[in-house]
Amino acid sequence: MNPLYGGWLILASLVCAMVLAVVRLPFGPDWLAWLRPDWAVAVMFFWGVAAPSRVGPMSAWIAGLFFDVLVGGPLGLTGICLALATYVARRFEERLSLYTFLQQMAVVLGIAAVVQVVKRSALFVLDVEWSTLAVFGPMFTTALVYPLVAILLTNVARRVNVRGESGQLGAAS
Amino acid sequence: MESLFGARQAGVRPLLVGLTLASCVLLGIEKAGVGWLQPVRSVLGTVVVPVQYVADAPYKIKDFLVEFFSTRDELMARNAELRRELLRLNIETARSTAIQIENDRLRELFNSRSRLPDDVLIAELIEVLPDPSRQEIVIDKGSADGVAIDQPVIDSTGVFGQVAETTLITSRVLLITDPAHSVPVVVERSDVRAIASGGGKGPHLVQYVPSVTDIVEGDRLVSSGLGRRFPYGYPVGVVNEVVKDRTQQYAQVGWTPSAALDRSRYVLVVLGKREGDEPGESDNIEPAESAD
Repeated sequence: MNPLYGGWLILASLVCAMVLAVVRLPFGPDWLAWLRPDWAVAVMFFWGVAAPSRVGPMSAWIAGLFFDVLVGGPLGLTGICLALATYVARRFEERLSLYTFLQQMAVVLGIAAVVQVVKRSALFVLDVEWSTLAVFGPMFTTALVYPLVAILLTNVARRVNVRGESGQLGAAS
Repeated sequence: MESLFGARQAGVRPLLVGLTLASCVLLGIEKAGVGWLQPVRSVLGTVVVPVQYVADAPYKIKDFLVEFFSTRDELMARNAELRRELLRLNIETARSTAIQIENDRLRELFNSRSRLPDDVLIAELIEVLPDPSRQEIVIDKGSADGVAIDQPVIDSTGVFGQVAETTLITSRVLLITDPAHSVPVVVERSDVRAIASGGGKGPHLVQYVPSVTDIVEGDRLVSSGLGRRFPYGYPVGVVNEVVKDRTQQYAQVGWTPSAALDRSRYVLVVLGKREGDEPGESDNIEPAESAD
């Protein structure tokens, strides 16, 4: 097995998540900013389930550093959140790959909630303003966009044959 | 062949604990504010610059479309308007030059150094940081262009913010409306000194203004030069609310920024004084300044 096989797709999906994490629309109301989904968590969790041998806590943590500088947050914060998402994915991989989208969405909702609480708590400790809406908005939207991310990446990954160790890509679809 | 982390379940939990510790250490360093991570951020920040440019594309496309579909009449009207504006500004510049010379001469009489013009650099906004509870932007000039941390940033209408972090080719700017930001100001009309703090999305307050102070709605606030970060005399904002309660020590004073914080695409980074500036001289502080 070529260890680099399909790795570019994982990288490309992360770059897309980065763009989506900071893109601004020239129109639309202000409160839309409070609803920005945590794309990094959705994408990382997907790869954690779909290709557990390629994406683990370590690579997620390193990817998190780039997200941190991109959004101007403290270094290591996104890293630990993404590592957590891939840890859950790996820990419950067999079960998760048999789940329906709805069940997976519930898991993502849980992870996104924990991630938001971790992020906001850390920012609070670092004296950045705290707001309840900032927790709930991204949490629900992340769960809502997860099926889109999963369907899109599953279809592309099938075509380029990203090797998951258990090879059950897209079992949920 | 097993890949690097193919050992699966076995080593994953210790790995997660280790990564959590690593993150905590990094956050601790950040909290301590010692700046050890600055070089790391600078390198990583330079790597993600292409992402920032791509994410800015919707605005670029909008600008392009607006320009592309504007009619000849619109362009001519705009041109005429700009020419009128240029004429007005030219006259004003000529006047201010005369005043500058007079001012220099008077300052010479007082034995204080004359104020040197500031050297500025034009930068374009490329990213607004996505967290809506923070007011920060990224501009397309970095340490390679001479931008350094703490340098003030202004736009054509007033003080914009200050540089908080630089990479080689970009810089992060903390806006004056960020809750973590304060500017020392002076009320133009009455020479009262105060501090204008950002309030995030909420109201921005002028702090430490005693209830008996002469300050009213509509007063213009300009940077006072105290604190040595912002040069003297740039407009900061306008007082939009004054609530004086004699039982309280300080009045509640709100202000709105003069700079077009959410509209300006181009800003100016004030790099410093043009000629040999000697730090340590109190050239920005008025010799006899009287509050109240």
